[in-house]
Amino acid sequence: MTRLSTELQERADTLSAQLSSASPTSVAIQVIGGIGLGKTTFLHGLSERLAKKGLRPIHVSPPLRAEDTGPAIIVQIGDGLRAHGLANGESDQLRDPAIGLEKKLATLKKRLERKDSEVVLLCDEPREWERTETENSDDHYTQRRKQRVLDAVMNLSCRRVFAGNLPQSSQPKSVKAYVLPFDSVRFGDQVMGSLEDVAQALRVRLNARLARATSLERRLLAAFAKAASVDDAVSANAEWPDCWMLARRLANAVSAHSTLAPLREIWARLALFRGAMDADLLRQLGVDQLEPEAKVILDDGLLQPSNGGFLMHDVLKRLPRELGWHSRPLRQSAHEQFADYFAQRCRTRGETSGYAMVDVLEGFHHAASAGRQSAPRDFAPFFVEQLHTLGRVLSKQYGNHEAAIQVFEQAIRLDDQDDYAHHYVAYNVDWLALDEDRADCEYKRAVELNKEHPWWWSRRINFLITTGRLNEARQNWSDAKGALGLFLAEDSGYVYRELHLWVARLLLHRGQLDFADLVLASVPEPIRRRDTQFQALGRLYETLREAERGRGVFPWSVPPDRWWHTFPNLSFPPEVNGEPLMQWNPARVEDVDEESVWMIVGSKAGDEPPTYGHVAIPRSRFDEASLDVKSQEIEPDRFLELAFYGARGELRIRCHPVEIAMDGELPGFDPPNPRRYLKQNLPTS
Amino acid sequence: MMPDKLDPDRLYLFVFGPGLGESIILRVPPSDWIVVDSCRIADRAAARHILSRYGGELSCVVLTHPHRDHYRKFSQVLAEGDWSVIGCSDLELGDDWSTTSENQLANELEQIHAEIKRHWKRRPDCRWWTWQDTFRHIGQAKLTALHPAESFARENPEAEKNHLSTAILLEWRGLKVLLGADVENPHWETICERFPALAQHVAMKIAHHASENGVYDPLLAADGGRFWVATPYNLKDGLPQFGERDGPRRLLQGQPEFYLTGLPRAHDRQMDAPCEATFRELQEGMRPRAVPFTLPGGLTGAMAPSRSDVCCYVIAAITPDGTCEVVSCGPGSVRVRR
Repeated sequence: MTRLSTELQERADTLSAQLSSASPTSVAIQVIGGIGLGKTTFLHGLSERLAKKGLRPIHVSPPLRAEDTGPAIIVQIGDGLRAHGLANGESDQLRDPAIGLEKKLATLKKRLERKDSEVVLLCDEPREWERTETENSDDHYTQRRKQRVLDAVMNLSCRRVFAGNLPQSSQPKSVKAYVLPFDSVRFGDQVMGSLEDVAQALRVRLNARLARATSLERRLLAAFAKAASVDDAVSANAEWPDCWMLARRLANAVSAHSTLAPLREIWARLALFRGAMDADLLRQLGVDQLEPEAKVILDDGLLQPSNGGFLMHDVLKRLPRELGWHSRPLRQSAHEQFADYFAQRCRTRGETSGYAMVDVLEGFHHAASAGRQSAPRDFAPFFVEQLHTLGRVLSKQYGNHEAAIQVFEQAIRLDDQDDYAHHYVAYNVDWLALDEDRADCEYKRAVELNKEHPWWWSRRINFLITTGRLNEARQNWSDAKGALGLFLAEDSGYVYRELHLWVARLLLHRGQLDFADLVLASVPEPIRRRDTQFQALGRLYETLREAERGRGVFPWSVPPDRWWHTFPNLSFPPEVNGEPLMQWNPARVEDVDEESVWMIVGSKAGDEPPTYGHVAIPRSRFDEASLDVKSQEIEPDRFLELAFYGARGELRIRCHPVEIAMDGELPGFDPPNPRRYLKQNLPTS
Repeated sequence: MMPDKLDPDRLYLFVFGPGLGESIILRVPPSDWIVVDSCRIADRAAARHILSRYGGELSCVVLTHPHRDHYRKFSQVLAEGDWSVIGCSDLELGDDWSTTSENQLANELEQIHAEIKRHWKRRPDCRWWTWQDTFRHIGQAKLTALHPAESFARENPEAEKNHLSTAILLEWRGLKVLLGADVENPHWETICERFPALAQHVAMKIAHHASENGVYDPLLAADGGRFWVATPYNLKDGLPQFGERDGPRRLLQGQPEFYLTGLPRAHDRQMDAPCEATFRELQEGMRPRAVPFTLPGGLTGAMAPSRSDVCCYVIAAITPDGTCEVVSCGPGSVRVRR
């Protein structure tokens, strides 16, 4: 039984009565409340009351911001229907990946919208459903499908309760708002478990202020007091007592204590788990081996009991990633562990009550995230977008491009309209540089299916440049600008970063300065000025232009805005033989022969444009003047600075390093090797 | 000034050489264009100034060797359209990654190689590995690769690129035009043994900037009246040099004049188009005079050219009877007399 405060119990009772008496086709209720106020707990309490009144509550709490959020919504509803004995063969349809999304949604709609339907959908944090994480933000195909699922849920004619904000993109026609009071769980009512001792100490020190905190904030504060000290917690509360900051403080405290290191590891792993955890899972993670203090922080600070299991709040799940705790080995091992857990769970449940689709979906997610090629065999995917995760992980994290191609091919077999899969087949084929025609075909198809995706254009144009098709690249560039509506505005900054940035980078690498100029010039000036990567491209462009004119006298390390400063860029003595530095000139070695070091030297007087001259310095004089290497060690294209002292022009020379790293702000190449196709041999006659 | 239009019956030879780089563009009557190498003139490939002006068939383009004074903007030339024949004998790229802006520009070669490979793969009939003795018919003309021999190139992959560059013989109505690329001796000796009548040419782009080893005396031993042109090279102390053993001196022993598309240094008679000068004047630096570049401490050099207009070219037109007329010379060019 979910423990609610007295006030919440009353509210849950009232709401359950309203839902029970209302017509199933006309009720949509929104429970409003900020982060950590206990909306999820309230939904669970409500669920129990609805069940007692003979209604059929189905909890819809899909993984947030995920590629498979849409599938998870459908699967959770399907599992709910089956658990209530309301599914007559619908589960088979939902499981079949060959059945399209629209048909699956129609199946659910038909079942949920019956006049006598007793189903109540309890939807947790629906606004978060529509969002995406960075790694899948380019998956418009999945986003379109997720949007379709959201629209369907929002427009259903059945009883629904939404906890939290509604999606911005789709909302029910009429919804009755129900505001959760800020102090919905009074501190006195909050169950703090083994944290009660520190909670009591905090209550004494912070009583009035704690009344203004949410239940999550109080829980985090108590856990922080346990991990650090009550004094630290009191200070933290005085500074900035919101749940994000408190969670971060708690994380820092856990990191700082060596005895809590195992807790940090478990926290990082659990953050990768989606949904409710059970005691078995926690045992497998080694919770029982934790030091008592760490176990208290985990049990009553990081986790909260819910419906017979344990939940970790989204705030706590997001933190390990932000803090860089998710090393690749840890991610790999955690996902492997969770995949095994779900495999076991499917076997066990399959033998008794029949496995839940959600377990298969979660199992696939973890197996895919671990890069297991066998994921589709171990956990049959129900929806095409599930394959995207596996393909992307194989491609991007494991560099297994052949396997990734197979996965995306499978996706295409399920839905030929999947632009994401077509694109990734192309990308992986392109990466391997073994089948140019295939890559061409698949890139083209991706663009045809989704002309508004800047990445698809970007990769296709770069493919055309890489494979020596500049004219087609130009044509595609023009088409892309038209398709993306690019005479636009800086509010589409992402388009410039996903399209212009990468195209310009490759063009500059390939010495195509005119085309690169065209691309860079079409980026709004504020973006070029503010974005550090565009700034770096601008510097590279200027440097290459000078080189093209044969007068490059500055290395990468000296950006164009410092080319003609009053003082040299390299470190020279302020005076030589009592004579002051009068003049300096940048230079580049053109050649070295037995007698001289030949160089091109730049000179700039006042506001006049710079001039350049070819100058030979006798090697003996060079050696006498050089503060670094001697002429016998110097090679063509080495950058130098010449400094002249006093009226007689006493010369000193300094050399820029031979190995000058490329500007760290420059984007790389993706696929990484622009020469990948040039290794292929052609008939030699 | 460039001619407004071209005589459909004459073979035209446009030679560009701004100081670093050269590009030779030939128009075979009536409308076949051949481009050998590329350089940057007024921010574009030199050939684009010509091709866009006169129109015609994109018949043949050749990259003689992968030196930066020969391939700059070559990808622009390739991108002009579907060339019927694309010639090249070296599609290897070193693995060295660029660390300076100079070398970074060398990555244009990646684009050039990619473009060539793309065309060769898509249209195998346009592929011309320019090994010695191979040839292509271009309209009324025949192009024959004089150098390098495939066996020599295979056995000497590390050879200096000039020694592997593609010298070409163009034959049109019994007339010969010799395009020397950057081939240096001793290779001219073997070339002339294999192609004994090369001295009987009507025009020649002198090899390797008329350097001491680029000029091969037996090629000069024929009747006068031929059109000879060389391009300069502005790195180091520059080419050509005007010593007694250097190319210009020996060329002028063969006939009374030849043309330079420019000098390796900026000079004071750029607008004479062409500036006329004797060998002695050039040798002594009296006419034209190099524009000085001075630094403190007595260090002096020569100003690097900084032109942004279409310059440094010489255009010759050849009639079927072998008469050769220099029809135009661009700013910066020099007519060198004995």
